[in-house]
Amino acid sequence: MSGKTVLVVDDEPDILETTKMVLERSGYEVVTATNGFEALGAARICKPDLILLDVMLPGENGYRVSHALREDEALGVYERPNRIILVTARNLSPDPEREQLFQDFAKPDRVIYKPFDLDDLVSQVGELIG
Amino acid sequence: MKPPEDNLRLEHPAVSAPRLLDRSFILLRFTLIIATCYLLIAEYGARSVPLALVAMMIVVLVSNLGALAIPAAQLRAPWFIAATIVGDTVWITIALIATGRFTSEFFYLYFFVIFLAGVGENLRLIALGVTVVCVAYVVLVARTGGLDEVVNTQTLIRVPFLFSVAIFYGYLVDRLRKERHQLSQEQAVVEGLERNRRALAEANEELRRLSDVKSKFVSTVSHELKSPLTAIKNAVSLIEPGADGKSNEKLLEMIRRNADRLNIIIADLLDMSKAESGSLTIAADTLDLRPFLSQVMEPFETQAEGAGIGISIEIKSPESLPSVLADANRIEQVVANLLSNALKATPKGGSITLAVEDGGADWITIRVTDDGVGLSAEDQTKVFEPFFQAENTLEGKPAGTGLGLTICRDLIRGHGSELRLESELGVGSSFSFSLPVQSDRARETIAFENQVRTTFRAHPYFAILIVDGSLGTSSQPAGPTLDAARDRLAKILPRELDVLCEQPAHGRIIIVMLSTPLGGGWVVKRKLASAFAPESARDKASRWGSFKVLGPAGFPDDGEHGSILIDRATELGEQLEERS
Repeated sequence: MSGKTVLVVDDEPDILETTKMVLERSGYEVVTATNGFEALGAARICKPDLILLDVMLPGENGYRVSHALREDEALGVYERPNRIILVTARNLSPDPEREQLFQDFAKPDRVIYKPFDLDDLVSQVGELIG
Repeated sequence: MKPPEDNLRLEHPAVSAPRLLDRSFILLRFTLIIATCYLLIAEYGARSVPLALVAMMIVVLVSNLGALAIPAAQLRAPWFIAATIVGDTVWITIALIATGRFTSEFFYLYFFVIFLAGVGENLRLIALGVTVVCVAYVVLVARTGGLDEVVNTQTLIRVPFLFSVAIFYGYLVDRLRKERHQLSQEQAVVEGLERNRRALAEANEELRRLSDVKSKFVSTVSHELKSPLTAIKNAVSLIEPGADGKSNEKLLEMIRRNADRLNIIIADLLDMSKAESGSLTIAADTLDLRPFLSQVMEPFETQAEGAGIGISIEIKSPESLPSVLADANRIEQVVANLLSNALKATPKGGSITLAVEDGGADWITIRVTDDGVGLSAEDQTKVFEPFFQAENTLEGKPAGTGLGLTICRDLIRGHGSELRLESELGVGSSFSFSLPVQSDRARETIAFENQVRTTFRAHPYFAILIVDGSLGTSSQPAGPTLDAARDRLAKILPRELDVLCEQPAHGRIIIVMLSTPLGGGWVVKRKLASAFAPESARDKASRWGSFKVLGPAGFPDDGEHGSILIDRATELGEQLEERS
């Protein structure tokens, strides 16, 4: 379990900190980013095993960051596909069809909804990267 | 996707083609021609009718036969009816005069009958009138010439002749009147349907826009509420009972901070909702700025000190700072909001100034200036929009709802002023607003301003604002700003007003100033009121439920207010232009 790296992207410092705390307690190494550009840079440099990506980010939003990561994968920037978990507020988009459209665009591995349960988050991360 | 009008287009019931004034009147005209021929024969004797008269009667007869071939639609044309009446009057008059032995009583009776038929309201009245005339004529003849005259051929011909002339024209006029009435009724129905359709289409568009705004609002609010809630939830689940106090303390602090943030967001949302519904009231009262501002400043002084930012109050206005008229709680909210924004935007070593300046006649200006990050020109236009948050604040993520400045602007407008912003990226920002010096007139102004705000908010679809025209027309000369205002308003009005009167529709706002080039605001108001006068009370409820005429009320004539009026009028005028 140890040695795996998780990139946590959120613009809320408190959420970032608590998520980092719980993942570190579970034995992951945690890298953080507070906006889309930072997230893309961190992903290229650290090559994390999993990216926990908030949707509502200043500048580039989570959907676009995820889409950009998938495009980079297709270009062969990464040796293996990124594991991406999108974090969103459930009724952020009152239009489920549009929400689906965004998710098809972003192609995340999983989606979790705010406010999420930390134990649930850890178990989902565990399922994806062990 | 179909444009909204397509869903709403109504099928008008086919306007029934007017069939009333059809060929029957041409047939009726034959009786008139025959009656005239009898008259001529009776006067001249069958063999001695002058050839010219015979020719005339043949022309009339042939023209009437020809008229049978004219399409029914053209028979209804006003020019045709006019030509018929004029032509008939000419040839009948010629026939009557040519008879020579034509008595003057008969001549007058004949024209009386024509007149009766022309002004007669309906056929029954005309028939009654002509019967009376004929009886009177017979009585007249009997009195002058005895019974022999009555039974002679001439009288027996003249009476039915008069009768048929009257009935013929009476019929023509009666039909014409009925037809015009029916046409106008049908037209009114069609116009009403069209008007309703347009109103529905506009209301639909408005609803669509509101629905978009609502969706965006819901998504933004849910994000704003869920972020601190998530932080609290995370922190709670990380607290370990019995673990070392330091980590738990940090988490508890995080919970407290986020709970505070939730509290602020909810308070802002409540204020915003009050502002939207127009119930954000301004309880203006006398306010002494000097002690008030130092009190508001106090908590920020400690905060600025901690962050290494200089903060100061500068009172630049006259020595004896007069009391202003303001709602202390609301102004405290505004100043605190501006100071808190300034703190967020200013780096260590920067400085913030809260300045009090002379704001022109009877106004005191309060200005919050910082030398922080400033706002880009693009952000400056958006900064007062709900939920807008500048991205270049120092902390990365600005804490707050993005509602603060929207609420502040509303509160300042409630005081009859405007929240202004001057800013340059990398140089700093300066927010300022003015408060009226305490006076009866200022009190009236604030009351009026709140009346306007409440009305616009409570009647979002339609409001007409009438502003008192005493500005500039009194002995006081109008300032250049007000002249400009009048000029722009005049440009907005004459065209818009006529369009509006013809096709009243929802979603329009008009500003009318008394003493406009249109002949004064009250004339305009009367014109509008009659244009919008509903046919029935029920119509009023459905169509003009949101119609409102305001004013007049005292509107001070000085530069400060003039410029606000221009801005407001221009804003509204632009909205009108966009819509039309």
